[in-house]
Amino acid sequence: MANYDFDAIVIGSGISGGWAAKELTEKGLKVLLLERGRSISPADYVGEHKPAWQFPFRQLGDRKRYERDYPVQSTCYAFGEPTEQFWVKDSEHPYGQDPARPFRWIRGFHLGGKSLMWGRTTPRWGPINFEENKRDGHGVDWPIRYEDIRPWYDHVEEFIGVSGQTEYDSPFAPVGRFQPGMLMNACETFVADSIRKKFPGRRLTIAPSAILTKPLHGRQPCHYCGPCERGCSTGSFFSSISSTLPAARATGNLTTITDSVVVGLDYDPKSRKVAGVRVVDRNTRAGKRYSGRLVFLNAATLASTQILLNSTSETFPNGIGNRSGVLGHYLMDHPYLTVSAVIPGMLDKYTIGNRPAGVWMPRFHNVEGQTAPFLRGFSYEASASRANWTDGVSMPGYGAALKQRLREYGPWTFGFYGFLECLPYRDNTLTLDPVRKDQWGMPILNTRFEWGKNERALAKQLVSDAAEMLKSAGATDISLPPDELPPGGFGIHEVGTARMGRDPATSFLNGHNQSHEVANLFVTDGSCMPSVAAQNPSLTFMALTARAANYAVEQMKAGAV
Amino acid sequence: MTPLPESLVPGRHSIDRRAFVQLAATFGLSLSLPGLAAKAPAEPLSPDELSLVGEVSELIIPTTDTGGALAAGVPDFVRMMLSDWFTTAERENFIAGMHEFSAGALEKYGKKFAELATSQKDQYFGELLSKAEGGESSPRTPFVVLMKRLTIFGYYTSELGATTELRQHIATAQYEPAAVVKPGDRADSGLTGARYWFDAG
Repeated sequence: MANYDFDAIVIGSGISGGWAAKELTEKGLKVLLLERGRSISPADYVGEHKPAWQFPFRQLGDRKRYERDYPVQSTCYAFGEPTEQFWVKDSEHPYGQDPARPFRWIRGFHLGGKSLMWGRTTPRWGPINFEENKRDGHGVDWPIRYEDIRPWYDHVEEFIGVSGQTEYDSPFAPVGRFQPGMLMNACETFVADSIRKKFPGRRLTIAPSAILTKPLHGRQPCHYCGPCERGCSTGSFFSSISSTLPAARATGNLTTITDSVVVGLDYDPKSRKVAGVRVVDRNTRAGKRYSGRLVFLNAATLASTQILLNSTSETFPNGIGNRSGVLGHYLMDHPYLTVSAVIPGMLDKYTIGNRPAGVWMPRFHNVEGQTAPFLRGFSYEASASRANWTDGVSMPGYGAALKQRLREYGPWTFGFYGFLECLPYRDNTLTLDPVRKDQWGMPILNTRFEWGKNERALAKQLVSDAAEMLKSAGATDISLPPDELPPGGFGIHEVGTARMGRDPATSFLNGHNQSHEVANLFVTDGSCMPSVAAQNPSLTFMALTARAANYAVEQMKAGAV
Repeated sequence: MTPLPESLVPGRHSIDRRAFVQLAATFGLSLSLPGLAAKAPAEPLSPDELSLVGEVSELIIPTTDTGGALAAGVPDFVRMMLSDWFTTAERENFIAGMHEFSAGALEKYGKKFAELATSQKDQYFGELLSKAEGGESSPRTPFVVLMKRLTIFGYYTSELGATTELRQHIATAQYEPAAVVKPGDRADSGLTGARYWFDAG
């Protein structure tokens, strides 16, 4: 039997990698966690609670430096002067975009990855989401059903702490093991009631969110400062740093090596396994190789795919385990579309505190079979707030009268941020550039992404439904998004390029996130998903990770891996 | 080819020339990036101009029962934005507009703006702003409009504006979803209220 450096190697420390490290170490395995970026601790949350006047550019950021170093990252809603340390410099991490079919690759290379800046909305997927590929023939059938993942949703929710409402059990957001939900504000409650009266099937509720309302494992409930992406010293929202990595460390079984860029996996045709993980030191460029009985790839969809494509051998000239040829195809994301308006009234009400959970409305089209003229559907995130001084720029006048006007709260504004399910298309692809390499010797990843006809039909419906619902609440000044859909990537829900499936000829992974071809290789980040649903994906790939880790350890103990 | 931002110069990051061109195309970067190559002047405003900016900012947000734009340091904020944040074209537009504003005062009143009576300053500025806000078309954003944007932004993101003129709840521990506004309550300036893209063009 071969001698391994570790029982398991986990590549990537973000949302799914942190989960793999926690589950595997807790099951007694000696785990090496590889992170390509620097280490992070709560001391790095330098923007937390910092008011505008304490930033050199009053939170506008150094625009010229951003244009030079962060042309893609700075388009992310959470990027800014208080958070810029959590994003990669595009100037140092090039990738390719098809000019006519662009894809915005949003990245954070540091311990904890994008779990530090993520949106924290964590609906479960419902039974229909796992059946729909089979129903309408787009994409391969999910090799699992809701009942297979349900106990793992329970497991994940209980550990990360999800707050949410439990009264309305939507087929597209089943009620889970929730802490008490945060509260909807006066305007959101009014809009929800108005919509429900006119559209009985449409329910606006507080979003299930990975933010605590009760203490959990030494983490404190939310203190309502608002912008979680600046970092949270009380560990109130789920990140690898606040939650999974401390648990993994506590087992004594975790070795974490940061600043180690994984460039490839070595395949051993005799054992049909990954024999080694090749890394390059981020700073010194020194190469090194580690071996593990199990390998969990959790670098996030694009980077995991890049590593797999770059792991070539005689057996797998197109990327390790890629006998099917699906690796790098079927990239998906969610386009977000904003419809906002002024809601008259309730001027005697305001909110104290900045609630970091949104409200949301689960999908309501094609619930009982295929009834709409388009496939699948969309969900909305939403929120309402009182307008403030930022409206002053568009108000006429100046002087004491303007100052007095801005001293008072403005009207309630309500925004729907709808996002729709994108179908898996073979031509939405990730490929390695044949020539260009990055400074660590890794071939540059080229992207090609476009929305299809169904996405455009959904977008139209999403916008008109939102406007209708706002009208039912008496809205004025309704503002619609541009007709053209935003480029892919902005949803930061990129998934699908190493998909699970039942048939090794049409999928990369089996129903346990295990490579069909390489027995000790598991991929459990978003790349494993054969569809993207119209829900936020992170909770689902956390649950898939825990499920896969459990299976892998069982297999290992049984001697099968 | 127009000058390149330094960090994108071929060779800096082991990227060859072809890679660079591809990279730039990739990001949809305009290679000229107007204003990035030219070094901003260390001091964009003369002492007289800085004092003009101060007077205009104080007209926009005056001292009342709380301090106004001057007390909040708006002129310094404007100076920083001009030298470090505005592009060359945006800065040149601002300066040209400021000169036009000064020349207009001289023409109308036969005196420099600084020497006008308070009521004349108010009248002159007010008429120009009202014209600009009344939709009179202009080939570029007028000085008075840029000053209004800069003053509002600079004032309400200052400590005085955010916490004395308005109030700021940063970490309340509790969330009150339907608190009642009492007479005299001031609006919350918001920890992230400033997170929008300032329009300097």
